[in-house]
Amino acid sequence: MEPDRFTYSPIVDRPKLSWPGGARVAVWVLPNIEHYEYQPVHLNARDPWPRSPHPDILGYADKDYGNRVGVWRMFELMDKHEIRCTVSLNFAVIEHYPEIFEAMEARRYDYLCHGIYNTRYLWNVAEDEEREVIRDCVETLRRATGRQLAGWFGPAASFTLNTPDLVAEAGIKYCTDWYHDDQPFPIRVRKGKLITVPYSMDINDAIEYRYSTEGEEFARMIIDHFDTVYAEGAESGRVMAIALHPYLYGQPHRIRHLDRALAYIKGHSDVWWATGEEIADHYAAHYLPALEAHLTVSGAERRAEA
Amino acid sequence: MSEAKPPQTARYRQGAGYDHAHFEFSALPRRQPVPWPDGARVAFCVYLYLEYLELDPPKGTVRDPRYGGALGSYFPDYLNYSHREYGNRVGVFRVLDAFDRHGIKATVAANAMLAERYPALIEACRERGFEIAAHGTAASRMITSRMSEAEERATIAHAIEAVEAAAGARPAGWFGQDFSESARTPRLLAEAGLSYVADWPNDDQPYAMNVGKPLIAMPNQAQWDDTQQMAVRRVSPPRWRDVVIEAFDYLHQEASASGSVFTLGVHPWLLGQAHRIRYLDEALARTSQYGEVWQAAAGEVADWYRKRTTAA
Repeated sequence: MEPDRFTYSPIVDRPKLSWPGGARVAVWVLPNIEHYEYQPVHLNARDPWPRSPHPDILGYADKDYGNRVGVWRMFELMDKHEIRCTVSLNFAVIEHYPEIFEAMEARRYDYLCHGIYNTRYLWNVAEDEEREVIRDCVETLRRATGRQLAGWFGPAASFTLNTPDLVAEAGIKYCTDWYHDDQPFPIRVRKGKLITVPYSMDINDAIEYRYSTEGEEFARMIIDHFDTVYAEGAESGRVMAIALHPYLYGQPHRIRHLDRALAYIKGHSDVWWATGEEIADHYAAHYLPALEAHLTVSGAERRAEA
Repeated sequence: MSEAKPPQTARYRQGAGYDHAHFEFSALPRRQPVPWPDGARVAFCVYLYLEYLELDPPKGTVRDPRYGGALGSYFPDYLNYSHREYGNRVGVFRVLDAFDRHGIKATVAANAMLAERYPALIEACRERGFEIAAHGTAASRMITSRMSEAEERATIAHAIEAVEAAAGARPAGWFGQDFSESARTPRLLAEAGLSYVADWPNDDQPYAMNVGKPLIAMPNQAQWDDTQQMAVRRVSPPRWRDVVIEAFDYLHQEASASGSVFTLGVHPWLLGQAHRIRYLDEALARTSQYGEVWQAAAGEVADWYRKRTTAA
């Protein structure tokens, strides 16, 4: 049965979404900081290393480069542009890589939980087990920082039909598992409230890496995408996510292309450089009531016309 | 009935560290600097792969499935077999010409069947003063956990002996086929007396492996290796050339106290094609314009690193 998690709503019909300071676009920058297991124990639906019997040291070392080398270049680049990132984080990184965790904390980065390991998918995981994974992540962040987890992004983009309900139940405000909009949007859940904040599977270096895209083309994509949402943002606010992986864009042949693309966006006024939690909070406080009223009225109108 | 698995929340260990014991985690900004000779900013190693691919590999061997090519690989695969053979008959001579033009001293990864069947190619490399490293049995045989320890040990020993017989010198280095290892490979390589391994594309600097004996992990930057870019991801040759130059330039400007290594993986069956060779030539022409570069064999770089990082 179709879960019917959201109301269909054309973006052009919605009330105007205003960002702080009248910004046209909320830009959030998301390095994915991850650990891929050397010899994964759980193989849920997808084989993380399909190239050969495990271990696959080409895959493992490629990812490891991000934590040893790439992430440090990326931190420096974000410092140069004064960008406070939202890290899509495998939460075991907090425990296994204390140097990385300290560097993120020193920069007051926001965390979007990306599960425990990037090789531990939620595919086919039973409801109680998934609840336990989410609870473990909430606890891990509380123990490390004292803060409540605000955002959820399934590990390696893996999900179950229960995920939104379990995420809301854990007191998490927003999720990024839905790629259907340029604005946040409410998701129906059994109990409590949940909204999506747009992440990207387009402006996403790991997706492009599966094809022949290199730095030159990816920087072009970032700039072109920004130009479009910046123009549209004059009508109503948009969100632009820049999804990155230090193992890819912390590479010496790519980081200057990223630098160039970020400098281009930095050259514009009316951009709100935000974190995931800031976007979710602003949206919930200043826009969600108006949107809900709009959806109720437009729903009633649709029924009257029928 | 399947064996019980740990819960989804189980960590592979408590606290800091990796999920294997081959080497320690090391964050780039927290390292002790290791300067190169004469203040060079970059050690530049060219890895030339000389490989024999079997037409009829033994049952149970594993070949990297990403190299099936546009039409797939079925038995007997004359297409892929002869495409690789083109590299050994034609392509390699274009590659060697380009190396000669730019004065490149390469490190050769030669597999056992190549060394046994085409000693003339090993000789052409020896004449040029290239270092010859061991590289498994054949391009059709990855080292994987499917091998028994005895088989893996025999594979390593055979690869070393075949190179020694053809080159007249015992190899110091190891290149696994397609970056392949089992979980015991680093230990077996150290036990076989090798002094460096170039299987782990996780760093721009060498590091020591924890295998009881001195074994250095040499960088092998798969990100711009010719096959990873142009055969697997189908990046265009001119774009590959740009990527190589950009990576080289970045590492050269980044290096200050501690030098990086820039490695260039070259496969004659790919870059030796008539339509690609000019991009290798152009990449080498650009990289040779830089000063403060130590163009060296992998074994020289590994030795330098070992001598400066292990206590006297």
